[in-house]
Amino acid sequence: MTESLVHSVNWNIDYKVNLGRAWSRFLVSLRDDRVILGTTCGSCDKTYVPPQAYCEACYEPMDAWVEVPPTGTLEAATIAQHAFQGGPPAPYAIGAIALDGTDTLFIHLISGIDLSDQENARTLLRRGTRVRAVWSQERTGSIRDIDHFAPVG
Amino acid sequence: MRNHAAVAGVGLTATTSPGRQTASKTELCQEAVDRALAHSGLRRAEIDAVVVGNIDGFEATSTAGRTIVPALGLAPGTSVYIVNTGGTTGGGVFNLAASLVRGGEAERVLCVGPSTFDGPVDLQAVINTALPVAMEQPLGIDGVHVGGMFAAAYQSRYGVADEVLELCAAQQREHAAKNPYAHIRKPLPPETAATPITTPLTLGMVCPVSSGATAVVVTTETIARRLDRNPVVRIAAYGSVADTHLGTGRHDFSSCEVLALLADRIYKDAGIMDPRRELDVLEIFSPYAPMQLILLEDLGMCGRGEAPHLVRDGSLHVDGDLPTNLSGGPHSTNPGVAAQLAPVAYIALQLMGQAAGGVQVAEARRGLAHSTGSAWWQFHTLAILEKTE
Ligand SMILES: [Zn+2]
Repeated sequence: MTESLVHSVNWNIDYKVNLGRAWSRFLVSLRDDRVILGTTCGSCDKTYVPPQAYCEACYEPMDAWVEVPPTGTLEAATIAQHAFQGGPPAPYAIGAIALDGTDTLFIHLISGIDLSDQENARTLLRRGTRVRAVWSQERTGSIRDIDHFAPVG
Repeated sequence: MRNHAAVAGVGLTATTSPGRQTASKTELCQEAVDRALAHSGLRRAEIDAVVVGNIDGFEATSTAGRTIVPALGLAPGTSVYIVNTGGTTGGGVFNLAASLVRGGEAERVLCVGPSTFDGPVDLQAVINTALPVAMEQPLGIDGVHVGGMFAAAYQSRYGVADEVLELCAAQQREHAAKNPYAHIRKPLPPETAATPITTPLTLGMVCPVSSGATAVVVTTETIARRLDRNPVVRIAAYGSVADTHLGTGRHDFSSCEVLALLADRIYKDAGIMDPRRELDVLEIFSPYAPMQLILLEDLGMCGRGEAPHLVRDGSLHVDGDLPTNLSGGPHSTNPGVAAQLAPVAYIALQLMGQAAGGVQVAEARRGLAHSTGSAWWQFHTLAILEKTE
């Protein structure tokens, strides 16, 4: 049996992605006004956050913009114990949040509790927990302009 | 009368970890293809189309098909098709082959499921690129977190204990122990299995990163009958479906609504009224063991929140009334596209009466193969295979 060789291959490629009108308006509003915007479908009355240009259910154009409160209810969360290349340091928690007045689940980081005590954190992040957005000090027009959502009350 | 598409032969390689693998991706595909052709009785030169699966970002070259296809010794002029739909690539390869045969575009189609994960140093960093740009990639989400989110949502909605999730893992590993093609064939030591990954998932519930390849030969029922090598396995129905790309577009993570829609359509095509009774064997794509619960419910095998009973009462074993993932599934063996094509191969072997490792289901006549993947399990494929007399 001959020796089995392995070569290291590295890709390091930069991209510029056009986010489009709906997502640009959404992120600019986070950055400049600390306001979460959604779009509402005139046909089925569903509100989407992040906003979309067209309703995914009806394919109707959505030009009704609504301000959504920075509060919601946790549908589910997972507490990650391991970091990966390019990701946040562990432990960190990802949640699916039903923002008040919306029909979608908003995915974001959940923090503001002690995540190192995993079992206690699981209890605190159970379904139905009320959460509120915590804004970043430095805002750049990114989804991380909301630093995370924290349990309230 | 329609000349149905049929499975003529399948080829699986042994699997190991990418670190222990001594063959290249191309060499693994050559081995799987050789086995599938030998199993079918077809000669290489008779193949008129080849379908190869690929997933962007994993390959250190953008399309595996262009390195693999020329190495398969096929006749000049063989049609080439590449499928690239994340976690359903392998299922999509098979569905496309069935379509080509049914539509009369080709008569003998080779399906190739390469070994996808040999290469990336940090697999989760690659999977993260499959999540929506700008909205979800920056949040540190990869495949295992999607698995964790679904399991957490299911658990909290139906009040399911961690022990049930552990049992899902233990049962699939028990099946893998009998499968000569499986990668993890021994249970992990309990303290290793309990290592937290992302709640509620522990190391024991999460798939390994595997290396291996799968190939399947699809032909017409007439040709399969003429070959007379194996019992004829008809592709009775197949299809695929897509959900929204954004996790944020979902309303619920305790089910996959689009899979339920797809299942209804496929059962109708196959003339199935009661899937629980009319399907004899299932291979469903659950790299994170607890996914099984959600998928069984979406597939109509029981009501919402009832799947833990199927796990607890032994229904999913070889002697149960709903044998599921007797191969051990991707939870024990996950070489990417090869693993997504494997459910079709294992179901075909069951229906041919050739299941390895003592897991042959008595009088298996009809089976279901499933694959899923991409961000938030956006895509699903299903195929129903039937032994014909
Ligand atoms: Zn609408």
